[in-house]
Amino acid sequence: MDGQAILQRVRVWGRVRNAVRTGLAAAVVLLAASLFLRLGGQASPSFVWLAIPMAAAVGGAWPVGDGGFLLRAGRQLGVRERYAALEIVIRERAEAFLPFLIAEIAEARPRGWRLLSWREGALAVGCVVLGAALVVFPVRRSEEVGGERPIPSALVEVRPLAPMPERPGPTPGAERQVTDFPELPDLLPHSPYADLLASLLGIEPGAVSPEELAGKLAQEEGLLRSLAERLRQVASGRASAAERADLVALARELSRADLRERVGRLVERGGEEGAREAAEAVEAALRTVEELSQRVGEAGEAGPGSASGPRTPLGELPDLPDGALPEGVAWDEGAEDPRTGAERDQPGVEPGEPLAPGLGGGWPTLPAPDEPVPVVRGEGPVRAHLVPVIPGEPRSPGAEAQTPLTPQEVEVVLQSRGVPPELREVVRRYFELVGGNP
Amino acid sequence: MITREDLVGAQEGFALLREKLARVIVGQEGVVEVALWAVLGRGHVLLEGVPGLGKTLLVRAVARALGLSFSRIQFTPDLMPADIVGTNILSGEGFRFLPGPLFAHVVLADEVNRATPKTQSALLEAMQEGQATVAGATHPLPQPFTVLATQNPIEMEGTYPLPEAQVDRFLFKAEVGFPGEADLVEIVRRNTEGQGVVLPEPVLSAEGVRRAQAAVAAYPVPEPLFTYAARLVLATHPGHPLAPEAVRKYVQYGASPRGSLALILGAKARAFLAGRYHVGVEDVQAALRPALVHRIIPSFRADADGVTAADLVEEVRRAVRAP
Repeated sequence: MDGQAILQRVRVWGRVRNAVRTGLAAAVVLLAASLFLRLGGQASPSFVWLAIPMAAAVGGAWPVGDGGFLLRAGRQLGVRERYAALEIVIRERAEAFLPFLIAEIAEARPRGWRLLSWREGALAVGCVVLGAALVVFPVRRSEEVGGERPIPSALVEVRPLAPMPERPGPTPGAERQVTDFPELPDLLPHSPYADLLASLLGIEPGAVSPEELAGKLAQEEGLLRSLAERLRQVASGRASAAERADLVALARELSRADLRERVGRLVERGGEEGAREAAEAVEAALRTVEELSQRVGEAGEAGPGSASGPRTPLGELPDLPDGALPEGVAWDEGAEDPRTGAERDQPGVEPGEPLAPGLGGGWPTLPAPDEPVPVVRGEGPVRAHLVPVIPGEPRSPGAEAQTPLTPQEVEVVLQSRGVPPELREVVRRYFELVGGNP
Repeated sequence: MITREDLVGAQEGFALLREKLARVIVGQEGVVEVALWAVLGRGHVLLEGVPGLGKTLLVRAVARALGLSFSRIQFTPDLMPADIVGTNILSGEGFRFLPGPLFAHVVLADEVNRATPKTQSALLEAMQEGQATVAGATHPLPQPFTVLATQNPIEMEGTYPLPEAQVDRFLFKAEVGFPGEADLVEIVRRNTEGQGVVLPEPVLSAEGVRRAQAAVAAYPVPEPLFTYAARLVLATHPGHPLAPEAVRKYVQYGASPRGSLALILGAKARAFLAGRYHVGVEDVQAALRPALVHRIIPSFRADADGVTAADLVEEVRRAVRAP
């Protein structure tokens, strides 16, 4: 190996050492930052880890100095100042020294790994320590730190939601300001509304597709209709023991665990009073599901990015193609939005008549009770009267025309506007306190 | 340009030279080393030590082993410049220049501080210029030319201490210490048994010494070592940021730029004598004391506190970070 090759090899070793050093340094910095964020309840974005190979590449490409680097490298590799001397000898063509220096370097048998010093060791130890700390402090899930939290079904009482107040139609005069609610293209690709819907059905959010979710919703609707009808029969004393047993089996098919347990318990207890109470619970749940089905149908009609769709929070519903909705859940093109005042009926059904059954069977709906207040425990009826307004600011002139929002819609609005999870948690907590659940 | 054979031959010759000198000179290996640095670096050495330590024997042995001509000048207050440089004498063919004892390859200027400044200047001018001027005629000194001057550090009465500017012209200063017990026993034994001390046979020649000087001058020195040498010298100046606290406190004047030159030449010569082909940091550090100790002028406060120039040089070595 000639002198130039020896020096070139040392420079390559130096570049590798520099790459290792800068890569480790970047890793330490990123690990420390990740740990800091994690302790603050946040996770670092995954793309920042690209900084490690980038830093290593920069370190490897960084030019290594000749004099000082060769002097230090020679000492670390056990050849003392011979690399630096060799570089001078080659540069000044002092041929008398060349063979002696090359022979001495070869005899010393330098190894590139010896260029790694205590600095790299310290950085590696830092990486290990910080990595272990990251393992000890795993990422807290978003719901633990105030992120998007599905409403636990156990907290939801079975009283039905209040009928949605009629909202102004898409007429230009009553139309809300565009800034109140974002357009569909502005929405996040994953709608939290589907998660809310799934949680109401006792399904893990995100576990099923929107199409499957719509199907389950229709199935639940039919099951509730059937259950409500049979409970009415039991409450009127017209059911036999076998029918009661069938009723218990039917109640076990309900998706929501709380409703399933409560109805099952009331039916097993027997008596007309228990049956009546169970019937009211089922009917309340049925109305909720019907309303949700209705919204899903509206979303399917509006379509993604549709400019003709209603400019309301319901426009933020998940994108469900028409064909994805099961029969009995999707509405025909001529159906009207209930918020416009028109009743949305199924084809072939006269206004005022019970709705057509879903997949679960052809059971007519019952008239809504007089005082059905949608109450999620801890939230209270206050959340049924929320309007989008910035706290502390006077209401805009058009605020009178704004209609209240449901808690689910508030969640959607907050999330679609990019409100951080911790602030959404503050809003949620505020209404929990207002609703009497400190 | 030197060849590989020149380099190898010079190294082998000086290795043999050191071996021969070790048989004659006992307990003064460091002084011999510095003397050889001076010869190889084309410089001169100031030997400082009390009388009777073998300084004259050392110089004679070195000159003899090198195969060079040798002359000794005992400096006294009545010594005149013409006594060392030479003079023109009238002969049958007119005036003829009669060279003085200065015209030798190796000159021992014994007790140089006893001569008057006029004579000292004549010697030091010859050391610097490598030539002597008599009656308007310039006469080159033989090459290689090395002066080894001695002075007694304790007997100052009736002496003319060398001015700082002239001390600076000595490339190195070697402090001749008192030998240890074992060395002293060996010295006594060698001088009282048999034929006494026998000077070594010549190993080299003037041409061989010149080739060795050329080889040493060609030694590769990495750039960071030049920077290191410069910083070491700068750190001897009390006003410089690199200066350690002791230097700020005790130094009146720091080393001249010749100090850096002496550091590098000494480092090269040391690497050559060690049989290496590269100059290292430890070579510069080894040359630090001989190269700088006579160039630092301590203050009166240093004298009062018992701080020597050698202590200050050591402080400088600690203060300046090696590359």
